[in-house]
Order: sequence, then C-alpha cells, then structure tokens
Amino acid sequence: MLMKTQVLGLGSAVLSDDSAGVKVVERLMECNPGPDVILTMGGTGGLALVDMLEDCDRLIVVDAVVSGAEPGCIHHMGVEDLESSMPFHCVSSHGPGLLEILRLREALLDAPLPKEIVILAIEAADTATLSENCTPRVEKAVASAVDQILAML
Amino acid sequence: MNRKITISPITRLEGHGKIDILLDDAGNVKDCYFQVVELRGFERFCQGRPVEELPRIMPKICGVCPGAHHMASSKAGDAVYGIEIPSAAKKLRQLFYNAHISHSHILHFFALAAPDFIPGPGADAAKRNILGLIDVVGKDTGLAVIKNRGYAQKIQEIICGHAIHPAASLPGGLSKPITEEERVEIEAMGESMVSFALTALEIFQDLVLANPEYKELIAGDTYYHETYYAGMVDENNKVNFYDGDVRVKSPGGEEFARFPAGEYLDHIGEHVEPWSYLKFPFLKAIGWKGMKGGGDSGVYRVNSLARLNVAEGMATPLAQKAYEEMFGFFNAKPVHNTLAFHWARLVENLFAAEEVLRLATDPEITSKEVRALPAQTPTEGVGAVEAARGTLYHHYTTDSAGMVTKVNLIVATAQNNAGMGMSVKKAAEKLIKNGEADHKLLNMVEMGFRAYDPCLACATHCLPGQTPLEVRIFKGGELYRRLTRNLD
Repeated sequence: MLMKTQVLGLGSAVLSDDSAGVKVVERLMECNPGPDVILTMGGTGGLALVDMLEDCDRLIVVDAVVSGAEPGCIHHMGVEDLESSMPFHCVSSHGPGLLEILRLREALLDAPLPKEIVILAIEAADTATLSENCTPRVEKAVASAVDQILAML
Repeated sequence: MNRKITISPITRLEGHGKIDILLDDAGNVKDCYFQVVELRGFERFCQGRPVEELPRIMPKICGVCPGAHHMASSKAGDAVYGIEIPSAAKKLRQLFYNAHISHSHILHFFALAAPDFIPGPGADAAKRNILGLIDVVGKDTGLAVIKNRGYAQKIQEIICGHAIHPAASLPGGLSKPITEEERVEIEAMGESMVSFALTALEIFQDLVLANPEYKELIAGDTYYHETYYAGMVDENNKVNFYDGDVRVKSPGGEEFARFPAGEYLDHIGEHVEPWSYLKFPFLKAIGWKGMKGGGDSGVYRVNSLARLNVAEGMATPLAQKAYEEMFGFFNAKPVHNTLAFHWARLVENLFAAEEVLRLATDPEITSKEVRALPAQTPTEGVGAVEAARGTLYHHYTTDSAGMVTKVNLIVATAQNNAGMGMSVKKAAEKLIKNGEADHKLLNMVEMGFRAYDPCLACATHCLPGQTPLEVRIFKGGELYRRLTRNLD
C-alpha cells in the first residue's frame, strides 16, 4: 500500500518571502504528484488547520522562518524541533501554532499524529514588503524545496 | 535618568510588535508605547491594479480577518462605481459576514481569551491554552468549539469560495448565487451555531463570572478607561456588522456623532507619533490630547464592547436578552471595563449566529440576482464594515478606467492603539513599583492587549509561531534585569 502524504504550505501570499511555503505548494500542484499526495494551501493557518489537515502517514510542512541564518537556506526540522524551539504555548493574539493544532486533533478527533512529520523551513530575507514575489535567494530555495519534496514522494 | 522596559511580543502570527515601558527616576511607570513594524510598499502594491481586483487581494494582506477586508473592499468597489447592489446580494454578503464574525469570535474567545480565565492567569503557562481549557470544560465542549467554528468557516467557503482567501464578492455584488442544497446546509449549521453560542455564554457565566477572582478582574479597576466609543448601527440603533451609520458615544453615554462611513474624514483624524508606525485615530471634533481617556480627549475605542456601548440593543431576541444581562451585571452604560470586551464578543457571537439562521431562511437568499453591472465611470468610494476587531474603512480612488490611484485604510487595531497603550500602562503601573517587576507583569500586560484582539495586519506566519515576550529593565541606561518567555 502506498504511503499517503500531505504537503501543507503556510504563509501569506502577498508578503514577499513569507509566501515561500504557499509558492512551493503552488509549484507542486503544477507537477501533479499523484493521488496519494494531498496538496494544501494553509495560508496563515491558525485554527483553520484543524479542518485542513487530513489523516495521513506523512505530513510535510513548508513555511518561512527567520532564524538569522543565510536567506534561502532550507532548514529540515522534525516535530521534536517544534517541541524544543517552539514551546507549546497559546499566547499568540491570533491562533494556535502547528504543534498545538496537531495535539488538538489528537485530543479531540482521535486523529493520530502522522508517522512522519517533516518541516521544511525556508529562511526569509524580507517578510515586511507587500509583494507577490520572493527575493531572489528565497525564490531559488522555493525551486529547491519543490525538488526535495518531489524526491521524497 | 529614565529607565526602559521592553516587552516584545514578536510572534509572526501577530506581526512584529513590542511594548516599551518607560520608568521615571523613582522606578515607576512614566509611559507605555505599543509599537509595530511597518509593512512596506502598500501604496505601490495597490496602485495600478483594477479596483475589482482589490476584494481578492486585500484579504491576503491580513490573514486574521480576511472576510472583513473582502467585504469592506467590495463595498468600497460598489461606491467607486456608484452601484446599488441587488437585495439578494446584500443578504448573501450579510450571511457570509455574520458567519465570519462568529468564526472570529469563537476563535478568539476559546483559543486565546478563555485560557486566561480557564484554567486561569495563575495556571502553568503550558496549561494556558485551548488544550488546558478543554481539560476543564471537557472533550464534548472542545469538539463543539471546533465543530461550530468550522461551520462558520464552511458557510464563508460556500458563499465566497474559500474561507481564508474569499473571492466571490466584487463590485456590484457576488459572482455566484447559492443553491437550495447549500441553503439547507447553511440553515442546519446556523441552528447548531445558535445553540453553541448559548452554551458559550453559559460557560462564561459558570466558569468566569461565578469565580470571585475573575469577576473582580473583569469588573475591577485594572483595565478601566472612560473613553468615547464608535461602532456601526442600523436604522434602529441596533448593532450591525455589515452596514449602517457609524455612531459615536461619549464616556457619559450621550450620542456624540452619527455619520455615514463615507464621511469618516470629517470625523476621524490620525495623530502620528515619531516612535510609532501605527497611527492614532482620534475624534477630530475633540482633538488629540494624548493617550488618555475622558470627555476632553479625542481617544475612542472600537471592537465588541464599543459596538454594544454605542447601540441601543441587538436586533435578534436571544442576543438582546444576553445584551441586557451584560449591562445589568455592570449596572452602567457605557461599560468601560476593558475585559468586558470578551463578554461582549460572546453576546455578538449569539447575534451573528441568529443572523446566520435568519438569513439562511430568507426566501430571497437563493435568488440568482446577485450582481449589478457597473454603468458609471469609476471615481472614488469608501466602504466600511465592523470587523470583529472594530470599524474597518477602505477608501479607494481610481482613474476613469477603474485603475487604482490611491488607497487609504483605517483598521480597527489602529483605532484601539491608544486604548491598548492605556490598558498596558495601567497594568504596568499596578505591577511595577520602584523598578521591581515579575512574571505576573507579562500575564497582566498580555491580558490587557489581548482584550482588544489586536491584529497587526501583516499576517506573516513564519516559524516559530509562539509569542515570545521580553521585558528588559534598564537602570542608568544599563540592563540589570531581563524577564523572558519563549525566547530561550
């Protein structure tokens, strides 16, 4: 039986490099990766992700990150990295984070965590300029992330 | 020398913001500044686009209240073309919009506000979240939260194509009607939403108001500010989220102004501070007198409590009863207690749910007549709605071909900018004495600005998604104490 994978792109489509995650999913849609791959535009997510996430074997999340690394660098993270680097805490003004959403699904919907969770975090250079385009280095990283995900599928 | 405390809630979810607290020589609070990072290139981003494209683009600018921007932008587009939209289109937009408000209020109360009370401000930080809340209220209630918030999202999706990126509303009405099957589905969801909205108010009653500590927090002095209030009302002075005049009431409760949204520039000025990208809207007739309350200060507040304060009631029976209970509890009107914004949000959620149900059963709601085509040369127009967070104004100017030349937005969070600063300052004044502050300050400051449900309108969503807080206390210009959460 084939492994069912969901690829979730997060970010604002009109805020330069913050759109990296949704751009990766857009490009994957053009590649038509097959029936066992669910491609989801999570946008700015929040609690809506409870409904958007599906039961799957593997979840690949693509999002932008600002960690101080070189723009365009792709960080590969697992759910354990979220545990340590994004403390589980609901104090945002706007909504729960990814880890909280996964736990909420587990607690309320008896939805087991996917067996494998891969997070591709693309280091952003600019997330404050309104633009539908990424900066050049992040644009290259988007293409690279698409290739990496296709290789995983 | 003055000392400075910096609180930096720098989450990507809420934008880039920080709160600076300045202390005087004795180590007591002198001033508070709420700062956000400016988004660049907004004018350039909008200029040169066809105005009918803005209702599709604007929701993407703010990932928090896309439905509000979708509606305000569509209404501004209607005004630019001088179009009166068909009656069925207006009802469909209202149906969409009440679902949007309900979704936003459910999210805010249960995911963000309630954990301050349930399990409570003293609980372990790891428990002050929606899962900690579910531990107290039970799994069934948790499921009801998720289900009904999901219904509110689903209704928006049915009407406008997508809950997060709505697209169907445009100048002249909507690009598509709804079918009878969709109407039936919406009606069933509306029934559930009304029932859940009543449950939410019961939860507030049982777990918040019945607790003397929380009751004191809500009714007490900590976040109490006597200010003006503004919000939209219908022809009977009842709360309306989608349409109506903007009504302003004084701190004493008298009607101070009432105007169509298109005249907003006559009534609202915008004060600029050198330290803030976020402007400070104020009542022009009073003038900007600084960040302070009272009848002599032009500071006004918007959002749920403000709407209830300026209205004479709610247009639906169950919400009206809840409205009367709330004002009865405080035995005052206007209510100036900032944490009552949360209660008002739940009253409004009931109103929104009742409106969803009423509109879903309106015989005209499945009419195919949902678009009036533009017949006039486009010029200039203003569209406004009550966003969940307060009045939202979109003001567009175009050339004769309908290409955008100028855009002005006044968003709710800016209108509460002064109010947030005042609430944070008051909390800080209570908790910082002689330069000493502890972690309780973080909670109390957070509770102060969270009541306003602020949206920094940038919708960035980069990892990490938590809200780091940093308090730095400077003595003689040197850092001598640092309190952090989620930074290390």
